[in-house]
Amino acid sequence: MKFEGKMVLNSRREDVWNFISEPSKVIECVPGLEEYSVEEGKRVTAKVKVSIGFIKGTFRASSSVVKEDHQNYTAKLKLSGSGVGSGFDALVDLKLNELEYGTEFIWLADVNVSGPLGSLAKPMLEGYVRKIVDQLFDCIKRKLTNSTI
Amino acid sequence: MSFGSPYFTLPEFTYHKPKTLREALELLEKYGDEAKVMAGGVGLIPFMKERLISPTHVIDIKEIAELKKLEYKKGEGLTIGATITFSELEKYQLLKEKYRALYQAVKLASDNIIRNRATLIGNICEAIPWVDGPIPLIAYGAEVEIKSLDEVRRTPVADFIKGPVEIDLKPGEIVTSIHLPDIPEEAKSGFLKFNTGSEFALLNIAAYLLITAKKKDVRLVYGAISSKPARALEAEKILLRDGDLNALISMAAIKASEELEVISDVLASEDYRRHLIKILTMKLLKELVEEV
Amino acid sequence: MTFKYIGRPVPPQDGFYKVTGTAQYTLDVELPGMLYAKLVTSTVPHAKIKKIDVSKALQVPGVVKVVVGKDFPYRVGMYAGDRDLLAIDKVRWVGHPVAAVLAESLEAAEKAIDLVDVEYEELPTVFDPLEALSPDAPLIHEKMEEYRHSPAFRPIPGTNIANKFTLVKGDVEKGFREADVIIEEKFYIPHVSHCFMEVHNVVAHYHLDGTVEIWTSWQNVAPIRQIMALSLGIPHNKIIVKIPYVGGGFGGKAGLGWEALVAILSKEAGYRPVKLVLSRKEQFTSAAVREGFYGFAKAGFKKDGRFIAYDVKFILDAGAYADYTVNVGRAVGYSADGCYEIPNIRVESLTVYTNKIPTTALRGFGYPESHWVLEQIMDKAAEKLGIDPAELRKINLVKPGISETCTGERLREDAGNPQKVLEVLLEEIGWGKPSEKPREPWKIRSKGLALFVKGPAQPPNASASAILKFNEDASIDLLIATGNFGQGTVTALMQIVAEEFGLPLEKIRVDYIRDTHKSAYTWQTVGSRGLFTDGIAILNAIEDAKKQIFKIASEVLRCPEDHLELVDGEVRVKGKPWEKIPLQDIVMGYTYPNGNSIGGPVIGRGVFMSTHTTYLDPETGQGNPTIFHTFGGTAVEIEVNLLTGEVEVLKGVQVLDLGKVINPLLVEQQVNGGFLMGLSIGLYEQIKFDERGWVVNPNFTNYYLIRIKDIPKQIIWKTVETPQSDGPYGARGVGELTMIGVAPAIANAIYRALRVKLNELPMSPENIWKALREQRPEIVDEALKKFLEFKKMVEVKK
Repeated sequence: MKFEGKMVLNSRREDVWNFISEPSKVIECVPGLEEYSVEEGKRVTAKVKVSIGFIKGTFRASSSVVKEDHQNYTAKLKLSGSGVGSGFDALVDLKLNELEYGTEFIWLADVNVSGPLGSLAKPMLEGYVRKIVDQLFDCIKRKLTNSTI
Repeated sequence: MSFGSPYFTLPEFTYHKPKTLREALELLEKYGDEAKVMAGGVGLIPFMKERLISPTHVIDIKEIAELKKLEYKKGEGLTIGATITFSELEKYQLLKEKYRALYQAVKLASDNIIRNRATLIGNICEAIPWVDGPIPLIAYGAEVEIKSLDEVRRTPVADFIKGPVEIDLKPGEIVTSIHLPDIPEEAKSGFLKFNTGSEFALLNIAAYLLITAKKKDVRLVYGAISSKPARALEAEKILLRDGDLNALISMAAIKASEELEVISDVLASEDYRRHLIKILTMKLLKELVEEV
Repeated sequence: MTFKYIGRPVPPQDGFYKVTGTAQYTLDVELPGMLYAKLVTSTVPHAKIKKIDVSKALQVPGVVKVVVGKDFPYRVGMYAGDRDLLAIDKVRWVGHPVAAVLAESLEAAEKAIDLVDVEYEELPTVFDPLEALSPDAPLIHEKMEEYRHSPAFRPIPGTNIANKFTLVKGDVEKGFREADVIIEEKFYIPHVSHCFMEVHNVVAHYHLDGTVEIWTSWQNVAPIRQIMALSLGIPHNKIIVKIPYVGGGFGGKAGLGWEALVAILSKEAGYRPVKLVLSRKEQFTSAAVREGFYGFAKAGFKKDGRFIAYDVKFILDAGAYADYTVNVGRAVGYSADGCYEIPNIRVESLTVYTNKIPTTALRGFGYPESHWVLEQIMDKAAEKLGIDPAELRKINLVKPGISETCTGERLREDAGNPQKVLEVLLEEIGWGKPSEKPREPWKIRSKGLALFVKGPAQPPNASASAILKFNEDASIDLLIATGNFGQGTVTALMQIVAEEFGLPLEKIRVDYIRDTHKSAYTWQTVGSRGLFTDGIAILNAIEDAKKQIFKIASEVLRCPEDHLELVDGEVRVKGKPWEKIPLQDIVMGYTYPNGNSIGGPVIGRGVFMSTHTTYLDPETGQGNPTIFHTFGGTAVEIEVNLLTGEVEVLKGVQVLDLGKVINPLLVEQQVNGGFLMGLSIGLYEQIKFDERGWVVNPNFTNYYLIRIKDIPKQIIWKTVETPQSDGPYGARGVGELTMIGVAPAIANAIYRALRVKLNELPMSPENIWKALREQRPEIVDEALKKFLEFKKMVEVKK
């Protein structure tokens, strides 16, 4: 499943970059986050409660930085995890473009859900994954706006 | 829906067995999102065993007398209470005579052991795309009655099921009964299910057919094809036309196989499902038309 | 000769205990101080384990210990020797156990498994065995050369090939040059599960004195001891393996099990007993299933029907570990010729590692795979040659006493009568008589058949033994190790003892527990060998006991030993039945009226040893692999719904040359069970994987197993009895045979009627519908037309 999106932030590119380079700041925006820890090399492990309809499953997930290019303001993250008898992994590409009045934040995510959950319920999952991603970026936007004003 | 589970045990919970509906509603009000209602437990327990839901309070409604209701009133229709099991429905003579599609769905659902425990309302509340119960109910235009401490509301089964494992039910609410409207003597209805080589249906279909000189009313409802049950509205319209019924049936079946949203999943491909829609629609409608 | 017990439908001796619920299984074993183990399994298909953090799991109240693989870097196994107890430094499939939690309660253990954090560094994956053969495929086992494998196998280190089996007989190229008709086909069989009722479960207790006591739901006690002794270095006599009643095996409880792991866990828990029970999901994702299979076949025939050249390549998708599957790869290779004499044949069978669930034996052990290929080749050739499929088989059937199999084994004269099997099969199915027309014109009926042959796949020195001891009342305790997991062999073996001593069956007792310490040795209960090998061992033990009995009786009755006979529990002088002595006066020694005594307690001992069996030549596959061949055939009459692709079996026939039927009731149960298992795997079963190697249907709601509504109305069986002189009463094995022919017979019936090829299993409604639509769309269109024109959809019940 591929998802993409972009949003415009009122913050300076450098501020946005600093924010998203800080794993603990980003992870706190993950909806349903129950606990997390940040390890060496910006590796984050977390326990996240995910609601799909009335199903409320707990996923254990980790993310690590595959590539970080401050000069070009691009980064690649790898997320993986498992829960409710299934697994998921995702590659997320991020890019920040400088605008006249802020920063354009572009993201592209390739999400793969494996196991029974993925094959039984792919169509319904798409909607839920999109919802989670939207919530995540809304939160990032909110936090950035609050911190830079 | 079963994903398979490494667990044998259930997550910890407190078990409640209220004797009255009021008591049950108070418990639901108190525990809100942390509580789940259980009737037969056929859906809830596996969900819990697989850690898909872990309610800290389980409210067993089996002993609430007022929910054990099964009653038909001429002109008003049939009321099925929340704790009525498939087996009880199967033995209910009126169902066989009047609401034939529901009777057939009930009879074909799962196996004897499950039918002895499972309730029709539980079957709807699971909102699993492959189950049989909701399909004929939607064909009859049935509604569910939902109660909370401060409200009673009714909503069509078709709207109540919002998607897979998603229903129109808020914390504090309980589905108390299903109401099927009374149907004219001339109306015919039937249900077919294709589950050869599969535990769940690859396709299930219910038809409600009223074709008289005065009035025409047709409903075709399909399950197990996508995220929720769906009506083939265009196909229904074809059957409302005048003309050779056999020809209309073929046209409607083809239309249904084209107009519906159909997915591929672990049980069947989209192509095969569309093909089955065509064949089963023809078979069911022809059987209903032949039946005098 | 008339028998009192042999050939009689004696009900299975375990029936009473199972029906009354009193039969004890490993699941029932609960010991004081016992801990519960639960596995943490991999969520990635191929990865290095970077870190396992167990700290949170240890905080769960009741958790005693969490054990990880690197603490116990043992390699275990029976044939390939490739298995770890828990993943050591890397995981090789989704479901690979990486850690085990030990807790005072199952609740605590299940809570804790979710709290073990495993950090992986993912590696490139390979899921398709054909891709795994490519030189640049990721390597799944880097240190294959270090594995202690049996000499019967050829692993190829540096590749993903766990075993390369080759067989060459005659000149296959020359054969093809001389052939008039050549058939080439490709076949596939997906992974399937054994679906036994009782899942894998083990209780182990490592005692302070170094003795290890094991209870397990397994088919055999001896291999568990052997594997544990060789890989863990525990002396054989310090390992006691006990097997109570077992809820089904089907090959999935043979070879390597969980015992070594649970024994280590018990030691780690401070010598407390530990119980491990898999859930059905874990059985589907973390245990072992039947391999996926590809067959590429080229066959050459002369115009007159002679099968003169056969070139086949088998690729077995063995998954992450192939300990037992390497032998399946060998068996599928040397059974390529089925029951036909093919002068020129070349076989290559590769058992290949992939990042999927490990695999193992399943009822039939490679023979269902080789026959799925061969028996369909026969029908396709028959069509091309314009010869009836039954006739083509008749032309090519092996002739015992004259023919050689593809391994160069000359069949013994009394190996069986395949011609007669075919004749009876044709008669019973009514071959040549057209089927009745179905009421609905979009359905067709057809008949199809398949022949088969199978013997036990075994090492050349596989043996068995029996000890028979008498109690004071001349009742008998029979100490044997052959497994008791539903087949009924034990009942047949008891019938042999009752028959030979003229004692009522109630006087013969075989304890329900198999025990390495108390039971006589048998190699394994696999390959339909139990009745044959343990039967011979028992007959020899009976002979031994009789000698002792006659020696005592001859002194008492003052008569030479060879003038005595044993009738109805008495030793009698031949011709003078009134001069007799009851067995109970002899079996503990005879005491004269004055107190003088002779003899002593009678103990019979007997063995079976495979003779004339050999290893197969590593290049040519020539040699004698087995001790008997049971010939048989399956025929079906089916009805196909051309609109939906559904197949209904109206009638199934199985004919087997069993040499001698010891118990027809047990044979009937095997025939019914085997037919249904063959039908289930033929039409429905399939473990489905997604692109990341996850099993997506690890449960019985989405993995369809045959249900009562799918059972054919009529399954009949007949036996041809060509006694094999070295078998017990001439008998040969039956258990696995009964499922081999079912799937190819159905595929052949469909092909005969519709000329639609179904080279892939399962023949599910959707797969048949797809094949019809792709290969013969005009048939589907015609059926649809008839369907639309059909007037009487509702059948009037008479």
